[in-house]
Amino acid sequence: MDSIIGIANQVFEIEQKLSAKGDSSGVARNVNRMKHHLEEFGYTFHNPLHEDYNDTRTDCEASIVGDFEDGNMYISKVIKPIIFKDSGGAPGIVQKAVVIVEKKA
Amino acid sequence: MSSTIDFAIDLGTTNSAIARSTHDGVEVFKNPLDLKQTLPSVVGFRRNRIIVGDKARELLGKDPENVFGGFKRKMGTTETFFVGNLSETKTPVELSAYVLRELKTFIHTGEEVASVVITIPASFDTIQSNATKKAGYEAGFEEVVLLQEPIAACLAFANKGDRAEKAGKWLVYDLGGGTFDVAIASINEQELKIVDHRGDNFLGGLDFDHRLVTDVFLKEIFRNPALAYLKKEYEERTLDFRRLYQVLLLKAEEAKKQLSVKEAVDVELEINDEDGIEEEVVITVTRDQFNECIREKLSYTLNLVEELLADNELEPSDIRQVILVGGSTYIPLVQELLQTRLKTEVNTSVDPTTAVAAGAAQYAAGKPKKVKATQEKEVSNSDQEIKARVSYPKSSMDGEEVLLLDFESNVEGYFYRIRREDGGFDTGIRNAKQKVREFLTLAPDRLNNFKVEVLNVQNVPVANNIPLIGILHGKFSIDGQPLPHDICLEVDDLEEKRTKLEVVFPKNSILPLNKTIYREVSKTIYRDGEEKLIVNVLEGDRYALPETNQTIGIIEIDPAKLDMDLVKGSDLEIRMEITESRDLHISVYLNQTDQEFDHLFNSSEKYVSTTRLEEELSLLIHKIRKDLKEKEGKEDFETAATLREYLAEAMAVEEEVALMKNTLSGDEKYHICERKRRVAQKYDQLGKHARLTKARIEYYQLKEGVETQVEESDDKTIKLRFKEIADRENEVMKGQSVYMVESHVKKLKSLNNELYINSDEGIIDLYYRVSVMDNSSFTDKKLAANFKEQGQKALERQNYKELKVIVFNLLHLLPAKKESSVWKNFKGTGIG
Repeated sequence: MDSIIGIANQVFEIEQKLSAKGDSSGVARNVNRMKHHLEEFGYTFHNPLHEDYNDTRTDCEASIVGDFEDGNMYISKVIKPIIFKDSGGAPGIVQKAVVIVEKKA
Repeated sequence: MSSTIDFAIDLGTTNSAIARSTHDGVEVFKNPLDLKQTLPSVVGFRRNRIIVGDKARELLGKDPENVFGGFKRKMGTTETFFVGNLSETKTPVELSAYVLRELKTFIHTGEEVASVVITIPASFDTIQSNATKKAGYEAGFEEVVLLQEPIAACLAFANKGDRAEKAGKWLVYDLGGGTFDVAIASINEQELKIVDHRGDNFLGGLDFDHRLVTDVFLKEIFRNPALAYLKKEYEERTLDFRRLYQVLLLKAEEAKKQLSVKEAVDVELEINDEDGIEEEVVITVTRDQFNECIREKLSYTLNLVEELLADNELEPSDIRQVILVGGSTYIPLVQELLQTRLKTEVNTSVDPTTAVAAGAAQYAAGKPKKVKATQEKEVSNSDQEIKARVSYPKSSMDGEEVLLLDFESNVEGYFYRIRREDGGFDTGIRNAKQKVREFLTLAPDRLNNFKVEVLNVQNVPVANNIPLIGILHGKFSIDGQPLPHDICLEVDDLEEKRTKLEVVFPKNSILPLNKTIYREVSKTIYRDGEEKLIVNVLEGDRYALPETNQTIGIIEIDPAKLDMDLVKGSDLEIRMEITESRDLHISVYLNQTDQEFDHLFNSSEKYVSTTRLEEELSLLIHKIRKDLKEKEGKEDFETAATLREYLAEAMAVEEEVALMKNTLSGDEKYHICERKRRVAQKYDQLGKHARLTKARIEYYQLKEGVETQVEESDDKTIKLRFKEIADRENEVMKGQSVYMVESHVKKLKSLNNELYINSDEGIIDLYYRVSVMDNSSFTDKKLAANFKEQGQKALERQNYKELKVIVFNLLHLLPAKKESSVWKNFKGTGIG
């Protein structure tokens, strides 16, 4: 399982790079294909970037930059995504997102 | 119920863990929220709720008035912690009790635990020890037995089986996330005791991460001219820099872990330059570099070890072995330095992160219980069931939804806690009020199940009538137009030389829909050839024959349009989108040629491919003829008469297509296609139920025999093939597809044949059956006679392997069965 999670993290990183730097070679197609195959194994991931953050969110491991103000925090950077594993029943989280959280401007 | 304590808790300064001893060994429980075996020993008071563990640790230092860690160091002192949000003080005992209660929630078996072993540092005096006991009682345990941490660690190693061999002095080297301890233990057959110890409460793995950031990462970053400006930001500790520092710290932790197994790692960073343009920085960190960062700190721990030995008038050679405890001992340099400076064996046979909890659980397994977990508790809980009315939306498109709890029972003094089943949401422990309104965070595009717990004053769950709260997130939960039929893609079944349907969007899926399907090209399509690649999307019943369904969109890729020959086995991607107004957009991408073909099909138009129509008719006629012959042979004249009608109709349609092939208008094509579809549907339905039942009975009868043979067989491939067939059995047998059931029977038959041929009895039987055939039946009479003679001799010698080869040679001499031209000329879609 650890190896598949490692692959999912790499796919996520490639996707991030493509969206930041453009995709002149059409690599997004290959990335989608990889995501499809991960899904066949039951693995999906979610990027919580820019979502609101509060301390009930146990789907993220947050490093808080600056002060923490209840109800006014958001996820400013995602190092690793939330990875879900669906093994027939209800999907479970197999990796919490690793995120940077800060106060909304 | 066990008469021994069995449960144990490692109540650590930085992290804690809970374990239980069973007859199978020790189980270290996992946090249901994140499946980690450890819980940060941090407690936070957030307005009216209490959080323990990871979420509290995140806020450590951010909210010092309300979030507390490291309180274990203050156990037994009069020091208290003022909680700003509560305007009251908490003692280290109370804070420890919160951690202990949280650890209780890790016990997934739901057992009521009354007795527990809790570990304490070797340095704890009587007052500190009693304070730990008190924390245990406050957490709801009725019996608390204390055990020193180094002893627990020694037990974990000693019980590995080498206790007698290694009797003498052991050194317990415990380097965790934030603390360092070292102890000398004396161990023999009868006794295990701690001789002396040392420690530093402010040294651990986190210090190493900081050193890696400051000594390696930052130096490298500042060397980059575009990022040199960060040096000033570093000195001024700007917000931007603090954000970057957190990222670097996370990367350092990752790199540290990897460097325990690899010699070098690449750390990739994206950092903005002064103008906000992202600069990519790749820093290669070697293990040597990392070692240099931490050497000084580790040397200091070794100094403490040497001091401890000297104070006890011991030489390193007096130590039989060093045992490692704490996650930071995974670092190879720790082991190297210990070995070099002490010249003693270092034992790493037990997981250092849970060694204390595991050892304590082993101790608990031998410790008789003095109190019993009373059954009455459960009874009283059910008597006092807390009743509440709940209100929440069953589905949502939003990221969070509100849950209303209206307690009918008096909940004064009670608490509640809501957790999402996948571990992604936790309210923490909250004071219960008669009316509660809670916002629940939803995971996207799935069913989110939340469990509501009501807790008594000791934070023990009590019975309640609140059901599991299920909220569906995503578009499929919203009322919309459902698909009236399955939408399928026609693909080739090369084994059966026919096409079959693969469902893309099942009936009742809610529009709009989109999906990408990945397939392979099933035959080479030559640029100068005539065969096309056909993407045929049909609407109808997924279990029926493809020709009975209605084509709603078709893309025929003309070979002349290909940039090169499309090789069999190359990948193709088919993306399908159906709008709410039922327009179908198909896009086909050929990976090999990097070409894309797409088309928008309007829902009011009909699509007919003359090529496909011809092939489908030809196949249909062939199948009806074959069936007709069979029914006539069985003297089922009634069915045969019906089949003759269908055959006549199908042939009439075929004739019409042939005559008017080049002059057919759109409407005529559609009319002919409808006629073909109707006759195919009638044929498909004829005796479908009887065929299904027959095939199912055949499957189960055959399976029984095959299963016994597979069990007796040593062939792993055979076992695997049988398992694959059996695993799909439920899905196939419950389905309504005759084709699928028959194909499953075929797979089982093929396996049965293989088992038969691979057995001595089977090969003898087959030999007799082939050898009685007249020599004139074989393509080479002389050779056949020769093989038969050789076979007889092999049989006499009982050499069945040789006999098998001879039988196969004979079978090869039989003339090949003529393949029907319909099967031979099977064109299909080109999609495998």
